[in-house]
Amino acid sequence: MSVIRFLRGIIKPYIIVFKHAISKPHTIKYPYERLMFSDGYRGRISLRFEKCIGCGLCSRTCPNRAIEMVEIEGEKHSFPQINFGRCSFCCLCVDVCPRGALFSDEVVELSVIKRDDLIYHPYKLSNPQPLESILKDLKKTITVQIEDGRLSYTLLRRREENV
Amino acid sequence: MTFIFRLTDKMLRWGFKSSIWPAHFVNGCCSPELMQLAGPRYDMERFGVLPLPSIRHADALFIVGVISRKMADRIRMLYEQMPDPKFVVAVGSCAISGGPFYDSPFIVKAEDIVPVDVFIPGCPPRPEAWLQGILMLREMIWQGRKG
Amino acid sequence: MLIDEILGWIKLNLKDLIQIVLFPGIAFILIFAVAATWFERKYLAHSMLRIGPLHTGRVAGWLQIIADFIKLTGKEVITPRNVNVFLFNLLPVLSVCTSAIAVAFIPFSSDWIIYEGNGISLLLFFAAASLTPYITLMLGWISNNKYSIIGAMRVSYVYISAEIPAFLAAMGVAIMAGSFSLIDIVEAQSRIPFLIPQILGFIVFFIAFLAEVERVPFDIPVAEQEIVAGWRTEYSGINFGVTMMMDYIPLCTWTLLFVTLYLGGYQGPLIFASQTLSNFFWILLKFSLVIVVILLFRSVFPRLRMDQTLRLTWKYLTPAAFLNLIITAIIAYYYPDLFGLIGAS
Repeated sequence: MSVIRFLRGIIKPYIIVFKHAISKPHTIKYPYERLMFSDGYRGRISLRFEKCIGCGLCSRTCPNRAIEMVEIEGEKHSFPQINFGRCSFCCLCVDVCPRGALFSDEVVELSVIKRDDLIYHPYKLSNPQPLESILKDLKKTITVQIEDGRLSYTLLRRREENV
Repeated sequence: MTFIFRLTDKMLRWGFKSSIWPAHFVNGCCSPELMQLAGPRYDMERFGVLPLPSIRHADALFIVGVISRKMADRIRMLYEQMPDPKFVVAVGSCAISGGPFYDSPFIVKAEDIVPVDVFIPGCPPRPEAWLQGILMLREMIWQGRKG
Repeated sequence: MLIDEILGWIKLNLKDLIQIVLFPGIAFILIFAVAATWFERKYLAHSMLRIGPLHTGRVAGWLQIIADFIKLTGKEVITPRNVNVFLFNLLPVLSVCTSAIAVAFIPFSSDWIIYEGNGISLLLFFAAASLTPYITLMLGWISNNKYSIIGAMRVSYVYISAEIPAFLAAMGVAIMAGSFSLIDIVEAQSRIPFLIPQILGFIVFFIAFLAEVERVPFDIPVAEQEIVAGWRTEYSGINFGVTMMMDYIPLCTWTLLFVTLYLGGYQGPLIFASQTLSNFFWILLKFSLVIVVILLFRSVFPRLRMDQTLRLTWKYLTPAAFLNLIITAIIAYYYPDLFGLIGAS
């Protein structure tokens, strides 16, 4: 009996792996396809310039001290400037903002070649770079939904319908 | 003659671009994202990025997570053991600027010890962000720039 | 004058030259090494539900290995301090050459073999294939690195312990065929491959040759989790590329020997007009099938420990191979008619 169990322990995993090898891969081809994140995903933080009153609550509540209030020539009050190299994307600033001037979207592609480019001036913060200009090859977005209690990634939608 | 030099240069840049073998130096909790990146969902091997064990075989060094003063020496040593041409990617807020430990006297930034080519912010960065950083590194190598 | 002489010599030795340079020789082995590396990466990736190399080259990343080699030629070659520079850079090339010698004794057809070996080509194969671990041992020794020397020692441990059962199992085949010549062994399998009468030897040889070519589950010499990259830790640049390619050449030669000994070699029904082409087709088909089976082991099985490998080879495989040899010898001595039934001599 032990010999049969031993052989079964060798052959059964081999068959399982071989079945995987001939089935369809689960990969999302990233620069061409992209996963839609769930609602409320905390990604890049942007600023609605006209709504900001310069209270500085975001700067004081930031646990990483990534937000600094900077003066802008010709404006009456200061505006937040975020250092994304230090930000931990907790979005406490978004929660605390009394006017709803700060908001986060689901863009996470923030890589840069120079570290100073990670410090977003209020002007840059209020003009967020759209996803299409970061990922020029993006063709499809993939949404996650739950079917029969299991996560399913299969639903593909054309990008034009989503945006 | 110039044509041959240009062709060789282009071929080499294509080779370097399309097979980046990274060695990862993980100090922090960004490593699960690296596992995601090598796993089935995001599969960085599509771009020829194949993690190898020895630093002598590596082209790129992923510095991931918090770097303490003691670790800084080790990272410098690893960097000097890599064969040229070599590229460094700093991943996560901690490696870029200290992150939550920005005012600690025992934390070193990656840029202060080795020349960093690409910065990938995030806490931790999603696999998408990481892959975009790798794509940026590829583009940088293809254009022949140094970060 | 000289050119005429050279042309005449080439014309005289055309078949040998084609054999050495093209088909069973250099070109075949190099193409196999590149293709097997690419196929293994794709196959293992698909077995993990990934895609593997995709964006290098239009179709399925077929340029990936070429890109890797172009990159490795452009990398800096680091020579560690206190090593013999000449040997350190010579040995990777030497390892490829020595491990490729063994393919010369494999018959691809009854008249297509580089060297017949005066009727002892099986012994010559073992002699030539056993050169590889010496070179590997020297590679690890000369790197002046503790992980390299541990990996090299593990190579010699595993190789010696696996060589003996493999050789003893092959002796059973030699007794059944009544000859050490690989061509005679293949011809003796014209009715039924030795897989069936030599089933015990088949199993022993299969496990032993997996250990000899360092495939999973016997890849302890390059165990990444214990010793960084085994005996090739210190090699960088193109030297590393050459050592990586050298992994696949013993796989090629040993799998060809396995096919020749147990699966009927080049024997098969005639499907092309030419007998030689048909033989090539059959041996390459069997070879590819065995390679496909072996490569998947890497994503199925965990690595055996050093003591487990040695216990398996010394305690179980060697006695099993002896048992197989003794049974075959008794039958060959007392009941030689039994061999006549299955077509062997």
